[in-house]
Amino acid sequence: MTARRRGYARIFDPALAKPIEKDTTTCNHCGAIVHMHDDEGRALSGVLVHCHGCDKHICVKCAEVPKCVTLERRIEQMEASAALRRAL
Amino acid sequence: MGAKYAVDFQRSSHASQLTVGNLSAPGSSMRRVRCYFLQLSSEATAADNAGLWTLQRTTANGTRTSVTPIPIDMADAAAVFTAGENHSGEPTYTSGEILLNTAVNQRATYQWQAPPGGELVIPATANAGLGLKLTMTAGLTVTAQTHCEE
Repeated sequence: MTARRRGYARIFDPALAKPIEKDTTTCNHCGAIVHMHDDEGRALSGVLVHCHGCDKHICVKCAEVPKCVTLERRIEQMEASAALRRAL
Repeated sequence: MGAKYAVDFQRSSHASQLTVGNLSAPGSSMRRVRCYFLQLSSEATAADNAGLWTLQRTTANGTRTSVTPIPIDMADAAAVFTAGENHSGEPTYTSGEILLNTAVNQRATYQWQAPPGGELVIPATANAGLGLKLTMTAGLTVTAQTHCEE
């Protein structure tokens, strides 16, 4: 499996002694930001699914679609269809 | 490596979901835009108010006050993509294309930093973009900031 693409989110709440920190991952199909931890810092299970098509992590919503269409591919399709519309 | 820009959005919150700001490709000469940093906050007097921020893809800008993306490196040229805030007419949101949906109390500040390669991408398609919406008690000034690469 390829390495996970991890970003991070921080929540600064004056009521707390230190910021809440969470790892995040970007879904490789839709580009959604997925938080990997809850506000208590516990790892969330079941928020990501491994896609065997692109060998990357995807969100639960995209996992319901039985087809691998990567974000890069979707963006290329959007740009191509827009270019086609302009050409007509 | 492309040029990086900072964009700042501000508006007064509303109890129903309204757009705080949006980024979009122009109608022609588009380029892909990659957003790698996002900050959501409120400068109103501290109080407990629940808020729900939603980042969603858009296909039209709606009616907005233009915001000029600021080059982070002053040697860079002006951005090709456009930005706006304080919408009086909502953008056209793409159903189901929600990239972030997070509840943040008014007292708190939320920051997100993308992993390399995991940025939020706006395609080089005319008027395609991202809109940032908020639901919160009415009348509170809220601010969002994003950094993007073009």
